[in-house]
Amino acid sequence: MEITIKIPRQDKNSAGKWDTSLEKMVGGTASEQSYTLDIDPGTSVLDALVKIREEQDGSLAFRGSCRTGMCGDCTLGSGRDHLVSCLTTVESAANKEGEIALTTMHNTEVIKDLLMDWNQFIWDKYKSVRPWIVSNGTGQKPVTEEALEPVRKAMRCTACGLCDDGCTVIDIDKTFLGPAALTKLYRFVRDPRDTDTVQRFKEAGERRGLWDCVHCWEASEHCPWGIEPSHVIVEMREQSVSLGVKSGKGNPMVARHYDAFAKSVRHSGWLDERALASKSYGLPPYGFSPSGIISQAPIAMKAIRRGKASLLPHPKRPGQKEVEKIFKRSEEINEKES
Amino acid sequence: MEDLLIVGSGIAGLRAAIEGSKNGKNVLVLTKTHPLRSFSINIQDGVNASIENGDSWESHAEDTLSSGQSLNDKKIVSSICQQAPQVLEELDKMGLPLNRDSEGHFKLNKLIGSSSARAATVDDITGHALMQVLYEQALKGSVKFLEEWYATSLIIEEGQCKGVIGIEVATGNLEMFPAKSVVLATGGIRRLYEPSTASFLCTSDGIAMAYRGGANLSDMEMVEYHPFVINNGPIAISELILARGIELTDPSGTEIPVALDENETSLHNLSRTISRQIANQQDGESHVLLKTGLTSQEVSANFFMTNARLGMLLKANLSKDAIPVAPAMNRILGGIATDELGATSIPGLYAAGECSNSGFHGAGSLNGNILLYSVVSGLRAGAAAVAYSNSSSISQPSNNFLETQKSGFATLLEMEPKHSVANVRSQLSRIMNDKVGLTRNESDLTEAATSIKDLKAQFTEAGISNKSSGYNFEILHHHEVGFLLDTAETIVASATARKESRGAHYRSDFTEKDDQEWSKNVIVKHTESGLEVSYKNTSAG
Repeated sequence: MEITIKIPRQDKNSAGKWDTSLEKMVGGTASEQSYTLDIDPGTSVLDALVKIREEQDGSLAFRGSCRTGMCGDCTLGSGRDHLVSCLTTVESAANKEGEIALTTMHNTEVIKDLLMDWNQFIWDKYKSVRPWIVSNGTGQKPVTEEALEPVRKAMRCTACGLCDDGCTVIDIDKTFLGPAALTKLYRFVRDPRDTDTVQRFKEAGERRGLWDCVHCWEASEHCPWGIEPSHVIVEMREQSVSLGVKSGKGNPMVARHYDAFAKSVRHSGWLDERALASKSYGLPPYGFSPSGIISQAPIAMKAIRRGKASLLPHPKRPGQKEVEKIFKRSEEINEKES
Repeated sequence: MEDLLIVGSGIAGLRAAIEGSKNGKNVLVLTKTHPLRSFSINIQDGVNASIENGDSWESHAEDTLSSGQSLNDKKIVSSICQQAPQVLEELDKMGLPLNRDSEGHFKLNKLIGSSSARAATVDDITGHALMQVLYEQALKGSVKFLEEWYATSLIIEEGQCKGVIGIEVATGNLEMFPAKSVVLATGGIRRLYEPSTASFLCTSDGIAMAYRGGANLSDMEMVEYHPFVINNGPIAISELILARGIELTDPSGTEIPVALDENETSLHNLSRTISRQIANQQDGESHVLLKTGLTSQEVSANFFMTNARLGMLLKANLSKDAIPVAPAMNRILGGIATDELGATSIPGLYAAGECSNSGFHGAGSLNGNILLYSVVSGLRAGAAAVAYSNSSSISQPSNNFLETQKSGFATLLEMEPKHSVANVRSQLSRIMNDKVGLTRNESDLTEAATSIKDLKAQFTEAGISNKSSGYNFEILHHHEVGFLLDTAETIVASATARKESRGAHYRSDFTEKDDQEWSKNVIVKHTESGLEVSYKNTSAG
């Protein structure tokens, strides 16, 4: 099968670079280079790249290690998509014209050609969650097969980066800890032998971390190993709140928002939008963020004008007692489980 | 100057590094890749330890000797089998989430060749999880890592190892790393064979560097094939799946009998049977078909989640589909000869993991012993290197080593290439597979030796077309191919020397095992006059 692989020739010092949103080379004299080769359709994209480097162009830069999908080193971008290049055949990657366009992943810094800066992308964040077990020997819970199940699931992560590359928060804020490092954190807070859970949650709340995920679910969509990082983050937030650790400086309003939402529904049977805004953004005694409150003022005015919010006291709904019961029941269940 | 310099960041290298940092030593790990991209991450099998009721270290040792066809060092087999349960406890403390039974004890798997359930697992990702845990402990212990650095040669001066010279991938800079002790943990030789269960990075670096430095290599003829490698590689059917039973047919559906319960030798024989079967197949199909004994429940359960996902990505349902498989080279059991503690024949130089050979595996590895050996040999080499760095007074190596290497590289870059390095490697890996593979004989081996000489001659004229200094993978590959050529010679010489068949080594001109004559290990060494073969009686312990 004849395949043409298109690769942006670039490096971190060159003027021209691949623009991920425009999907083309921008600036300088940079060029996209095409390599044509005749190979078995079942050849992996990674093996095809090796063939190009060995037979056509020794200067082509890309990474790859295990060739079995387990090391995560060879993940690449392709159009708006991504691929683990050792597990993707050229046949399935090619378009109708037999072309495969390859780039680095979108949320990464380019070093050269298809080489990206993994340290900035994944490893620095990974190292920042104190990724080792802390145990005073007693452990928090009995070590059972079931208790370790989530730990093993998280350890299936190959750090291939697909979740972080799909992450819509990293898209706009590169400092966000991201689903990959959060999955690493999950491995420890769910380990019955680790005795540092509360401190770990505190740290994760003091930065652009646990509370900055927007639940877009892209991470779970992208994970090739079924780890579901998006769900992992939700589980950790629940665990964090249940341990009394709410979001800290990293994103102070999120846990307050959760809290205010639940309280409002519980006490009146429906949502009090005004209280939600003021409590989330922080009016005393819930915290204080004048800029946050001011930012909400125009929305509040509009809501009042359209009858979505009112200046009158927030009335209780007739079914409030039933709602209260639901809350109580769920508290009982939670207590029993822990 | 570092106390411990470790080359390689797989299981053995990381375990050695942890031992150094535990003892308050300065530890530097030089690695070609990021530690968590090392090849150890894709070993699925399990870790053997005799902790089941009714099992004993003696029984573990017996199974190990049986798989190794008594070419093992009995003393080392005993000591490692005795240490295994303790190793497992330690890994658990480090955070390895080993599978448990309903009472909370480690749940063990009975693998092929074991008389008891003995292999502790982390589902089907034991190596992967083990790597993470060891890397975590190394980070905790402030081990320094230099990632994307290739070691190019050892510094041997006054008869002792004084450090390593390395090249940085990002810049192409060569640098000298003086060290009180050096631990080689560079893994295997998979890139020397095609097809193989290969990582690009397994290019026998440590073995070749030690050989060039004058260290003894032993059992280099013991190259193990995996009978069931999918689609010509590199993914193999895991030992955990094999242990649950398989069915094998030729492409037309005729059954091929499989008896996998005995020992590792049955796997070696099966590889040869399948290989002959494929050679005789009329329709030219280069595989046979394998059906796993997994039920659809097992495939969708947590334990085989990674395998099931891999299957999905390869478009195969592990409980239903017949998977095309063929034998391919999997690992080398021989390597840099070490004593029980990991010391090589050069003072200050230690070796651990697949690049090393203390005599634990002998002529065939017992399923579940590979990860065990990686951890234990790493731990021991680390401890021995710590002790050595305490006692020895080592002077700074002279600068000549670095200068020689630098001028060598400069010459290489100036040269106009007459041959392609990649072409040399691809010819080499074909020769190794065809002539020095599953079945060997005198004339094939002689032919291979001649071909390798020719390739070496080509190699000296194979320059580099890419002249840039940073991220020049061509120059790095040139380096690796140089290592592979030397290693190939040692394998051919050792296979030629052993005139019998035993375990992984099968000679069609000497088909029988000959205990009388061949209860000895083949040792090869590089001397001024070239490669020297000698023999050492296998330790009766």
